Parts: sequence; C-alpha cells; structure tokens
Amino acid sequence: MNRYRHRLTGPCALVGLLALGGCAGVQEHEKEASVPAEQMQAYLADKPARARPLYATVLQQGERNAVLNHMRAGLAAFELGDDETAARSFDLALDGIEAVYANNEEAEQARSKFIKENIKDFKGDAYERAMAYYYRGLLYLRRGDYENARASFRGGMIQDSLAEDEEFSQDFALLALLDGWASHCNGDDALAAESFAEARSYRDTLELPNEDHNLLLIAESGKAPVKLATGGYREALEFRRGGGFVAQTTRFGVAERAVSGRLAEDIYWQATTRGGREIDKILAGKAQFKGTSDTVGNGLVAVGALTALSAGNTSGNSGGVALAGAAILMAGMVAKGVAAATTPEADVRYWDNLPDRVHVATLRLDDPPATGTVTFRDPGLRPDTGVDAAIVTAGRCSVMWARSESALEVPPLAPNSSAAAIKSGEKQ
Amino acid sequence: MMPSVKISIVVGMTAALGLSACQSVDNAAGRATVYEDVGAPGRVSGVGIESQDIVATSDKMMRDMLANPTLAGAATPPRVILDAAYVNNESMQRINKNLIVDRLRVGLQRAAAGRMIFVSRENAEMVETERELKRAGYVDTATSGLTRAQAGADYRLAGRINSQQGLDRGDGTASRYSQVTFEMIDLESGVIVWTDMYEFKKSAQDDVVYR
Repeated sequence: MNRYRHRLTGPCALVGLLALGGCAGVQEHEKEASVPAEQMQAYLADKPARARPLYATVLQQGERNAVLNHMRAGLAAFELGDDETAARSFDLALDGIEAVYANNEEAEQARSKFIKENIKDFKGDAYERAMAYYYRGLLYLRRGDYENARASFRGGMIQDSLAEDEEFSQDFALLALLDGWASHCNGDDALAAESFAEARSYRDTLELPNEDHNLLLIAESGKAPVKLATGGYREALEFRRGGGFVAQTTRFGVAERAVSGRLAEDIYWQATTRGGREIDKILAGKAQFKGTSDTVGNGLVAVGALTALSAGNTSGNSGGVALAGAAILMAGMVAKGVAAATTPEADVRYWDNLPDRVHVATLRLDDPPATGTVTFRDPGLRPDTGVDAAIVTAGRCSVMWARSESALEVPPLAPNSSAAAIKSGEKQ
Repeated sequence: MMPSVKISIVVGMTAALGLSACQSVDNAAGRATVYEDVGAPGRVSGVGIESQDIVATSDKMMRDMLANPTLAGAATPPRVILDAAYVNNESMQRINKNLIVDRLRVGLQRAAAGRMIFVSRENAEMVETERELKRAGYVDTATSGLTRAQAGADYRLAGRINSQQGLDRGDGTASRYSQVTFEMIDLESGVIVWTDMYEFKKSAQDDVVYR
C-alpha cells in the first residue's frame, strides 16, 4: 500500500509543476508573428532599403510594440533623409502615445500576477515619449512647418511632467529651446522669448539664438540609456548609460564658419530623474507575492516530506500519515508552482537608437550651403570624430543635424521586445 | 474513499490550480474596417482636438457667420477669403488647420446660397497661369469672358488655436483646455467684423501601468 502511494506522489507533483511552469517562461505575446512574404514585401516596398530590417519588425511584432518599432524605424528613416517615411512613423508612434489607455485589456493583463508587464502596448517612459515628439518636431522644422514643430515640442514637454519629484518635472531644456526656435522661425517673437526664457531656466548654460539667426545646428552623441531589470525577481527598473561616443564638446563648421555647440539635453539624466512609477508598486507587490508563495511552498514541501517519511515509523495508521504527508507535499509544490508562475519582471523594452546627449548651436547665414560638418570631442579619451551633415532649408530657417552613432546600427529587434530579442541579447 | 481516488483528486486539483495560474493571452486577430460617425468620439481618443471637435467647431462658426448681418445680410454680397493662411496654431496639438477651415468654407458656401462670394487666394497662381494663357492667345476666353484682374476680397479669415494642458502627478490625469478663435477682418480698414470662439476641456487618465 505504501509503495503504491509513493509511486503516485512523483507523477502527482510532476503534473502540478508542469501545469504551473507552463506560463513561467516565454509567454504567447512575446513571440513574433509569422508574416506572409507577399504582405511583408508590399509593406517594405516604399521604405528606405537600409531601414527595412527595422520596418520588418513593425509587422512581425504587431500592435504591442508598434510605438517602439515606429520610433526606431522612424529615426533610421530620418537619418537616411527619408523625411516622409520618418514622419509617417513618428505620427503613428505619437498616435499610440497620445491614445488614452483606459479599460484596455492588455493593460489590465499587465497588472495580473501571472502575466508579464511587457504584455502592455509599449508607450515608452517619459523620456522616450518626449524624444518621439522631439524628432517629429525636427521633421516639421525641416519642412518649414513651424507651427506644428512648436506643437510637437510642446507635446514633448507635457510628457516630461509626470516626474515624481516636482524639481524634475517638465525640465526638458532641449524641447523648450526648440519650441522657442520654432516660434522664432514663425515670426512669433513674443512666444519665442517666453520659450527661450523657459529653456534658460531649465539649463542656464544654454546659449540662446540671436534675433537674426536662421540656422539651427544639432549634434547628437552617445547611445541610448539602457533599461535593466534588477531586484530579487527582476521587478525593479534601472538605467545605465548606453556608452558609445559621448561627446563632451561639439564643434559645427558651416561655410567656413565654426561655432561650438552647447549641451542642451542629457537624455540619460532625463531617464533617471523620472522617479518612481505607479507600476513599480504593482511589480513590487507581485514580487512580494512570489517570494511569499515560494517560502510557503518550501515550508510545505519540507513538512510534507518529513511527514511522509515518518509514516514508516508510525505504528498505527501509517497509510494515513503517508497520505497526509503526500497531500502537504503536493500543496507545497502547488505553492512553489504558483511562485514560479508569478511574473513580477519589469518591462525593460527600450528605444535603443536614441542618443545619450544633444548639443545645439545657432547661426546667421544668408545662404546656407547643402552640407556642413560636426566634430565630436571627448578630450583625453578618444580622438575627435568628424562627420558631414546635410543642411535642410525650408521656410525662413535651416536645420543641420548629425550624430556620432548611427541610428541604423541597431539590431532588427529592439532590446527585450520579444523572446527572440531577449535570447539574442543574452548571447551578446 | 479509495486512496487512488483521493490521489486523483489531488492530482486534478493541482493541475487545475496550476493551469488557472496561467491566463491565456488573446492575440486578437484585428478588426475589420468600420465607418464611424465623424461627430462622435472614436474608439481611440485622447485629450486633444479630434474629429468631433472639428465638426462641432466648424458647425458653430458657420451658423454664427450666417447670422451676422455684415457678412450674410449685405445688399451686395461681400467677397471673403476663407483659408488657413492667417490661422495660427499656438497649441500643443499637431493639426492640419485645413481640416477645420475647409469644412467651414465648404459648409458656409453651401449654406450661404449667394449671400457671400468666396475668393480663393490659395489658388491665385493657378488662376494667373490660365489668365496669361488666355491673354497670350494660347487658349480662348472660355465662356465667362475676361476680367481686368483677379477678384479682390472684402474680408479674410484669421484666427488662433491654443491650448493649456495640465498633468496631475498624483494620479496621472491629463487635462487639456483647447480654444479655437476665428475672426473676419475687413481687408481695407482692419476692423474685426465678426468673431467667434469654440472651446472645450477634456481630461483622461491612462491605465496605472502607464503611470
């Protein structure tokens, strides 16, 4: 009789653990969809060739990562000078950011103990949302649409208002400066003065444009802030600098004139001064539940095993004791299974082709040439790096934009955006 | 109860518990295209200017302009220019201003029934090209004959779109006040002969997972 019960305890535990463990690993939403070749071909046909790997991911990862993938692909198209495609991508990204997610099924599931936070549609953290508005604004500037450029920069500043600490709420100097620049180019001098003063209040080292300046010079350097899941159950979100060529200073050269850029924004700093999020409390609760379930499970497994083992030493109802032991053991395994299935992991998908920082300068130039140069400097650590940059003129003003790190040099899948992306990230 | 039956129950309960821990993830297959009422809030909405606001704004302005005696009651119908050239967007909303102004012009032109004459300044270059072709003899004079010059206008639309947004750091509620102001300016004297404003305030709160 005892042998019979012992034979069944093993399968019993196995069934329970298999059932529980099924949702602890890769979840259905983390898999890429298979897209028919003709559909993919049609979608990519009008996209710039070098950005197609990023655009392919837009289709493969669907709605959940649509905002993230359009941000990445849009920025790649922007760098390639395909402003129309880039604008479409950023419009779609901003539509997703601006949509209010109330009574949303995926958002509700993201709060569940057994479904990962990353099931929710990606809208990005405040700094990522703000940067999407920044690039959309630059695209409007390059088209000479200064009113919508200003609206975009203002929209970005609103995204920066959610910081937990009031001191760091809405302090995106870059966006305030560009808001002023858009008004300046539109001839709205009073609005421009207001925004320039606001920008200076956020960063007093900024050099403001003169009244007759008509050329905006932008240099982006370094790599995007990296999101990491830390804590006992990877439930806490942390950031680290992305590295790359982070310029301490920049120098712009246009038509035999040279001007130094001023640091207008540190994106990593913006990422880290957001403060605590409401979702952090939910994830901490999930982690606590997971820990408690695991501890209770361990205790029950130990007690159950001891009870079952003690059945042999019991003179009376040894069968009953063994069965009780098996039941306690099973309950312990269920608790451990529940712990294993609980998913407190923080969502660490992130926009990886953003820069680390942005330098800005302005100039007066009567007839801006088609190109200029930017020198990125990190004295004592790296040799200077110079790049050529296109100057786009539309309306009253021109824009020159350059980067030390290409927006195209990122993998097709955004970090942590899917099971395959996580796997390929682990390999690196 | 036989021990094997008890154990089966435990196995069953264990499996059920385990399975219930996993919620199925619904990868929705999407949704076919449906026509929606442009005057009603859509399925996807935020706190900015949306189609129902454009419809409401242009309808309100149109009714008000038609009730204005200077514009719609003059013995000689005035000539007006209704385009977005002097409508300034100072808001935080990216918008194609033509969405509002075109709807206003189309609605007004249909309802005015000759009480106002609408002059297109946007297409002045197109008109000028045709005038030159006619005068150079490349094309004939068509049916309406020649005029000394393109039509001048008595009034022109000007306006401003503005907004003010606040975010409650405590609960993440976003609230935006939007204001659309239109004016008709006398193109000789600069006098404002008509003005109207449309304003609204919207607030919304994202799911907590986004805060």
